[in-house]
Amino acid sequence: MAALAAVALVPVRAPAAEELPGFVRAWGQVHLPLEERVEATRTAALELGLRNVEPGARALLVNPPRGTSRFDAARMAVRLAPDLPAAHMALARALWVDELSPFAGTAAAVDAVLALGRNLEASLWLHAAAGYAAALALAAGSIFFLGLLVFGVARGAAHDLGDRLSTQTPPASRAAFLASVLLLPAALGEGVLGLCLGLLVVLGAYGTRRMWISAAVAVLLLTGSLHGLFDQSARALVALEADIVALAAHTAEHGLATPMHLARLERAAETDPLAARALATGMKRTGDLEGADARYAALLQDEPDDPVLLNNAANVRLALGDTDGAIAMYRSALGRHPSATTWFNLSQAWGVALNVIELDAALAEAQALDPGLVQDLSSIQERAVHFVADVTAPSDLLRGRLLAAGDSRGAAIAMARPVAPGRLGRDPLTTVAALAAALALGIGLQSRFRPSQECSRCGALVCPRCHGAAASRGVCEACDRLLNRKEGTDPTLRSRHAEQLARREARLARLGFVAALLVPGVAPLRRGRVFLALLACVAAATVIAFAGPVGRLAPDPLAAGGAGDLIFVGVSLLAVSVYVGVVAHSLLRREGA
Amino acid sequence: MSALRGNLCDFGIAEVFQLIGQQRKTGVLEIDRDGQRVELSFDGGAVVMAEPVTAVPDGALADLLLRCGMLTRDVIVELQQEAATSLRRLSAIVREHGALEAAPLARIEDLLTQETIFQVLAWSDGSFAFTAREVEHDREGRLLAAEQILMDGLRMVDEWKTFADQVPSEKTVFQRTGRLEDWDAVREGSGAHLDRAKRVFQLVDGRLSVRRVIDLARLGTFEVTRILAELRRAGLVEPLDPSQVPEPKAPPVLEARRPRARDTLAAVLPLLLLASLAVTVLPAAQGRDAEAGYVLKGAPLARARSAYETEGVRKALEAYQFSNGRWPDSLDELVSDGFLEASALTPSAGRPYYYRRWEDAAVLLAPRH
Repeated sequence: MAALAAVALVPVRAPAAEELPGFVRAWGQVHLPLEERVEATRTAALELGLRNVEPGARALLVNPPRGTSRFDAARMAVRLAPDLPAAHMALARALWVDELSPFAGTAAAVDAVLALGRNLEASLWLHAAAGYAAALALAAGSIFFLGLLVFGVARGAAHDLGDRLSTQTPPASRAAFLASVLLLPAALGEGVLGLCLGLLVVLGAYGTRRMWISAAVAVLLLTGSLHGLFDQSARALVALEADIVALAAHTAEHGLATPMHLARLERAAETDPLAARALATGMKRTGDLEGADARYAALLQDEPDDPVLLNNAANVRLALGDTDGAIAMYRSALGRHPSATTWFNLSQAWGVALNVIELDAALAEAQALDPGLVQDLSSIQERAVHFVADVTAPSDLLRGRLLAAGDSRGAAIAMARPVAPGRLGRDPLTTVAALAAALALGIGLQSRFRPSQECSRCGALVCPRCHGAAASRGVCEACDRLLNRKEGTDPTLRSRHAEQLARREARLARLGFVAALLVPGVAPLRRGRVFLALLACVAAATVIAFAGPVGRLAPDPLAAGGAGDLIFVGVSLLAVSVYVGVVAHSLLRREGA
Repeated sequence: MSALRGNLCDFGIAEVFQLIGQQRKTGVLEIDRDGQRVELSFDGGAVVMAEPVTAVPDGALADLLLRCGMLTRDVIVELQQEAATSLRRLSAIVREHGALEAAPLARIEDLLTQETIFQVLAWSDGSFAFTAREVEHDREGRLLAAEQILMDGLRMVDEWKTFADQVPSEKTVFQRTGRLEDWDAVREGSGAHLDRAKRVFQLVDGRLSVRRVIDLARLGTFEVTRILAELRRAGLVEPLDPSQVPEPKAPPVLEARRPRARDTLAAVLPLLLLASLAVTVLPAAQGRDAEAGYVLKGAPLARARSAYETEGVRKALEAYQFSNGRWPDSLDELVSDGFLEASALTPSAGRPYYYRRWEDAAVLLAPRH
């Protein structure tokens, strides 16, 4: 046990049968037909203000009672936990595969995706995983783009750099020298970000104005991924262990609190409104109406405009017999946020006050907002006269608190470390400043020397120091004479050079087509469209990050189910379509040209 | 587009020459045999120039100029680079720079043409293609009709068979075994042939190979070989036993000049730098943790990931309890009943979960990272 620590704890003590929440007792009625059992469980949960009974839904999905089809099990799982994306996705799968209803299946899949935002664990997991994959995509795409641009000018850069050693330096040594200079910052501990410094200097010295702008955009994307998306992902990643009080409140709101959770809430209630709110809800559920009323009164002093608090406090007031006070609170809550549940509760209050006209009006408002919910609540009301429902705190509130609570700096640094292990990656300002300075240094160098480049016709290296005037025209001496200055040249040699150019053109067309298909960004770059090339690189990296295992930062805590995969596959397909579109557009324009 | 193309097996080189000569064609004849390409330029049926096609334009002429000792290697390389980049003939560049007078240069060009034609006439297979086009040259008055060259060439090929056996190979080294003055041909004869024989005899020194003698005599392979054969028959020269031949001096070839120390350093240093970066510094850099100014305690990513893993196991336990009305005896039951995949029971920390159940309670603990 010494090596173990209480990182996570499940119920240390199951409640005795008489203490069990109503929905748990309802679920335990195994003699009932499944549909009745599910409805009884759901009704009992709604009586406690619970919209979701997730354990029951998961039990149905994994281990449905004998004789229950996958479709029925999934349908009833959705009924039990409408905010559980995994349940919606199971229903979608059953509709697609078993019921052969593609449209209904698609609608269920859309519901699953929408439910991701309502489920705390699923939304945190998606936030962490998708943020991480997006950060990887942006970082990898930007770096690859910079590398691709530099690859195009590397020959000239290697030549010029090699000239610093000796004009007789062989090409392989020139390339090694350039590689060494580029890798030096990386070797000194700055990692890939250090390599980017060198790439940006080379780009500044050898690039065009459009290349500079696109490189600056790539720098912003890289910085955004390192210091924005990784940070966001890290916040969500550590959220599940960030705030034990908030998590206890979340468990209590779902009716699954253990004595350990309640003890945590008791300790924190004096200073933590979230704990006090959860305790108030728990008191009401256990019948301690005076205690709950006192808690709500205290909470409303601090947050008088919270519609959830107002609704739940009004419920307690109504139970205590203060009908007028309850009606005033319901109206106050509705004035801030119209809710079907609150309208229904108001109608019940008017019923207690024997005001049928107002009752009908309020019920109509509730039905206009959510007829399904009103039907559910009305069915309960048939058994429990003047039943009113609590409203659970919106998951946004809890999610915001969990995201803000944790110390995510360590996780964010660990995420960014493969790219930026050194001092340059410490904060966004340092990163941007260093990368911008590298680009500016390169741009400054360009005005101080005449860089070598490849002949636009034959690809031969044209160096101003070695080849003189023709270099300024962007073509080598031979091509310049072939095209512009034929006097004194030999027709046979001209003819031979022209044949070489034609063969090179044909070879480049073949190789270029293959490279355009296989290497992201090459197709637009061949047309000189650098921004499309950046888009293609990022799109390709997005496909790899979202479709492959590399982007899966953490396992789904049995909440998102296939909805998470759907999001990841959807993003991948979107990226694939963008990539294909960019490549096709580039190739077609090339053909046309 | 070629006006005439075919195979030398079907249409011999002599017939091709005759056709071009009789029709007084102007253009370029390319002959290809086993990867060897030769180019012959014609102007009105007369041969302007013939030379092997090399990777670098005028490479054969440059090679011959070097082997004949007309120009040094550095000069030729420099002129050749200029010729390649300016699409002009090497001969024009040589004249322009004054590296050679026009007359000796023309003799070398004629020698190259003669050697090439002599080589081509011996070919009985290969492909040819004639392209009619303008041929620019400055050799008016020095052109030979194709038929004339053909006749001379065929005669040389026939004669070659009569003396070639006297000269075993181009690597053979001859030594003098008599005096030139004792040779009947010298005592009786005179004229150009005798001058050429004297030039060849002077080059026979027991060290130079036949190839070097041919190059330095500047008379062509046919002529030098014939003279050597005559001298051998007259008993004035004899081939040396190969075991007695000192290591012959390699003929000059066109290569890059010998690098200086700085060039060598420039070639080797970057490679060493890159290798040292790859071998030593990069792995060390990967191991640094505190460079970012934030000391990472433990494994924050794995710890956070573990929270999600544990949450998944917790939810599976709850679902199992709802499904079966009891907690499982062990976590393996979650796997066997389909609530979890087996991999989920192996946390990223590497050690297993701690799980205990009692009658109505259960505890799950996750290993710390």
